[in-house]
Amino acid sequence: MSGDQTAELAAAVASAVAENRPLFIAGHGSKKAWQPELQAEPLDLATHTGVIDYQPTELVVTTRGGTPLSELNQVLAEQGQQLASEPPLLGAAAKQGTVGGAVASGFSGPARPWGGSLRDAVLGVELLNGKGEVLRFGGQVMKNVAGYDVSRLQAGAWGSLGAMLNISLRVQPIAAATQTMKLDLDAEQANALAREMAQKHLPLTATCWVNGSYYLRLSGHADTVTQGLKPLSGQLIDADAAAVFWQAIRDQQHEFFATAQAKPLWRVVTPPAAPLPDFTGEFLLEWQGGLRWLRHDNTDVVRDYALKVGGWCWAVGQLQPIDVAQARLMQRLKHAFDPTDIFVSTLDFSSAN
Amino acid sequence: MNTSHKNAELVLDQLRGVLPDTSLITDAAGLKPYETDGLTAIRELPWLVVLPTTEHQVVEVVNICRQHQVPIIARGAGTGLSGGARPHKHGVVLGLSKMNQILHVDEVNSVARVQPGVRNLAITEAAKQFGLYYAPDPSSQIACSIGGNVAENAGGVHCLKYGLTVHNVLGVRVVTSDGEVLEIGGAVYDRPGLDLLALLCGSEGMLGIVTEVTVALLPQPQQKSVILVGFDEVTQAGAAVADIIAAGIIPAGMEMMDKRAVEAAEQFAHAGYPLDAAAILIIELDGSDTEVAALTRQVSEILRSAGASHIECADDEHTQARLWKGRKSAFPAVGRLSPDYLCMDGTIPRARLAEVLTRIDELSSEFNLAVANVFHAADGNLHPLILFDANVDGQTEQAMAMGARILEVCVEMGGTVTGEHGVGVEKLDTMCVQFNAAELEQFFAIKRAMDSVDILNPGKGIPTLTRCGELGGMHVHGGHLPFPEIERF
Ligand SMILES: Cc1cc2nc3c(=O)[nH]c(=O)nc-3n(C[C@H](O)[C@H](O)[C@H](O)COP(=O)(O)OP(=O)(O)OC[C@H]3O[C@@H](n4cnc5c(N)ncnc54)[C@H](O)[C@@H]3O)c2cc1C
Repeated sequence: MSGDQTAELAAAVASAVAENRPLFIAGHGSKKAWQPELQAEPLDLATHTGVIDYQPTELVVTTRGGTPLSELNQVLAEQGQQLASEPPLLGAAAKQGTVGGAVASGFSGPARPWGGSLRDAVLGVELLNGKGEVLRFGGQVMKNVAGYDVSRLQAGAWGSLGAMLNISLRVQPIAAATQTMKLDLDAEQANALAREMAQKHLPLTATCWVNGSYYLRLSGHADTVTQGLKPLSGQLIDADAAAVFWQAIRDQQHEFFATAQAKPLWRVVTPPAAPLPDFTGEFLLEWQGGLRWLRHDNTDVVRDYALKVGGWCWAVGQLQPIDVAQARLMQRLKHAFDPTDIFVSTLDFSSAN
Repeated sequence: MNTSHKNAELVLDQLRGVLPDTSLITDAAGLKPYETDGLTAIRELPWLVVLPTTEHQVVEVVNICRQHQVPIIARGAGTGLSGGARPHKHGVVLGLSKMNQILHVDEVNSVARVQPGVRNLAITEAAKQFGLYYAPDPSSQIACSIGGNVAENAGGVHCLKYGLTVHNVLGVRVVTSDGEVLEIGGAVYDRPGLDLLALLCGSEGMLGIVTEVTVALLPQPQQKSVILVGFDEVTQAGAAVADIIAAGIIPAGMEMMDKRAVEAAEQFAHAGYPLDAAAILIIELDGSDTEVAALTRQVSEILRSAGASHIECADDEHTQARLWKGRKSAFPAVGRLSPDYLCMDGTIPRARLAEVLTRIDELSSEFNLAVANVFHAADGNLHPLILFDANVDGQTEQAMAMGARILEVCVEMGGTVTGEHGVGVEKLDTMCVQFNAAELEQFFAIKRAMDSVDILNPGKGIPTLTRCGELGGMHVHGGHLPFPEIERF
């Protein structure tokens, strides 16, 4: 069973509301590790699939929410295009996430600082809200300020406001040339180099520091990429090996992310040039320093650090930390879409701290 | 001063208690400059104007107004084109022009923290010493405020490549109608919880008062080239735009003007535009030296194959400035052709451009009003300028009715009634065409969630169901609005 399930999904929500049975919006379950266990029945979006409209010269694609992200990537690549934010494919083969799940989690990949976030690329949604209504917001055009931006509000909402039945996303041409260079640097040196590069005209599209090596990816016009690499004294990585490396970083498959590790995994978002932590622990840096993955077992230590440098942190499998005043407002917004709390999600506004 | 407000004296006393004299305007002469924004066809004197100098004063004003149910109309520079900052006769205009400090340019993190009244261009000027700039550049950038840009999600001529305001703002401080100060985001690439920042961008002062903005800064491009292109047919120009994007090129800017706009701009700015062309494109390419050289060659070839009748490439700053000057002064230039004009702001899928232009031509004949077309061609955002004379009886209404028809065409083509100027009061009726009752009700539910007392810019942005019902789906026939007695502004 696949294709357009709009009627079935709307009916399922309506009856869940009538019988007061909470639902959680389920795609492939590829982001389970990020979510605390949810006590609700699944509303299965994974069969609601298909690329509905794709106009490469308009730079817009519209898909049903349950369309596999890998399939969308493929369709775009055939036309020399991509999602500029490189959203991760998590989980196991064949069930590595849906387009709706990608938007709902709001995760962006290594290209985020240069290509924008997946949220940035959202142009429109058709939303099934908590009253079982199917509503359209935004559209398939680049610019749209008619009404509040309900479409981008779905990014990072983890399905708390409703199910995205259709999503229109802005796409981007794939760069003509890409090169990756590896430099042997410690984290401090890497961070210093990142600061220096931020004010230059390098066509950077990814950075990653891990295990004493700093990887830089440059993409764009072939000459610009070659010129950009000139002043750097590192080792060029073979294109295939580089693609494998960046995919592993994007998909959290690099050994650093291996779940067998004892200590909790933290996602720490900071100002890019913020000082590195002075406590010992393992870490991996992305986004020119703006995203810092940490392995650490002391919550207070990580939290104090994140706050001190003007950032925030989130441990895999824990609740996101939300400021109390903002959580109160978010709760009211949730009820604006879902007055009876029919959608249970990983965002918890009531117990937020 | 309008004293019809119920607790007028009490509210005034309380405001005097929290604001210095210089921050409170009550006399008619002082109120006059605030009676309209950039949509000058609509005017109304506010009851009061307050000009706080601190966030704390903003909170105090909001608290007083909430207590007495006094509407608050936030105002930046008043350049908005949809009447978003149009005053309320029983309301307070909360002007942010005195909160105009650049608080910090943080060159290592490539961000700037600024107060809401800072002018858009002033941010780039302050960042220049570090080789950085703020990308969104509305044509009004010498005047408009960053707070107003956030509230309208303003765009500019470079936004296909560099994004709109929502893509270039990383954080805001905002005062809610509860008088609470929220600090959302900062110099960071994402934030926990629901994306309140996305919701606030483009919310037209209806969900919160922005008191501080953290913007992303970009390194200034190394090299630029500007190409001026003329075409004998508008459709050729439209096709050329698609061809360039199909070749995998995202120009820094790509603007289109039709014959009438070109004539006006040429008289005004002497930019050297080809007067015999049916349409021109102004294309800006940027990047490294070799990249720009290669792109310029590639784009010129595409343009020639697309049938361009005139191509001029400029790689020196002086000529580039001249070529841009005509486009950047298009609005005032058109303003000289006619006593008044109305600027529309629909966005369409680019592939439908030729059809939409034909329909606009037909409407122009039907209403007997001339139109000059200026577009952000790269992203399908049209600015048809309807020329009229407000002193001729009924022409303002005719122009408004014709504008509404143009926007209906945009919606019919799969587009939207507003790409960057906002709904304000101007497009309330056309919103009824784009959204159904349940969708409008969803917007109202958001408004209630964020502003339960409905004091922030009430009545703007979202039309009531009653209004839409009475307009019968907003189909205007022969230029006669149904129910002319319903207030439309
Ligand atoms: C000649 C001309 C050219 C223009 N070109 C462009 C263009 O290229 N692109 C474009 O996008 N726009 C353009 N505009 C429209 C206008 O300049 C923008 O909408 C701009 O963002 C408005 O800023 P402002 O400070 O003047 O806001 P105002 O007009 O004062 O207010 C606009 C709206 O924002 C709200 N607001 C203002 N400040 C705040 C705040 N601090 N907190 C909360 N709400 C607030 C107001 O309530 C109102 O609803 C142009 C206008 C003119 C006159």
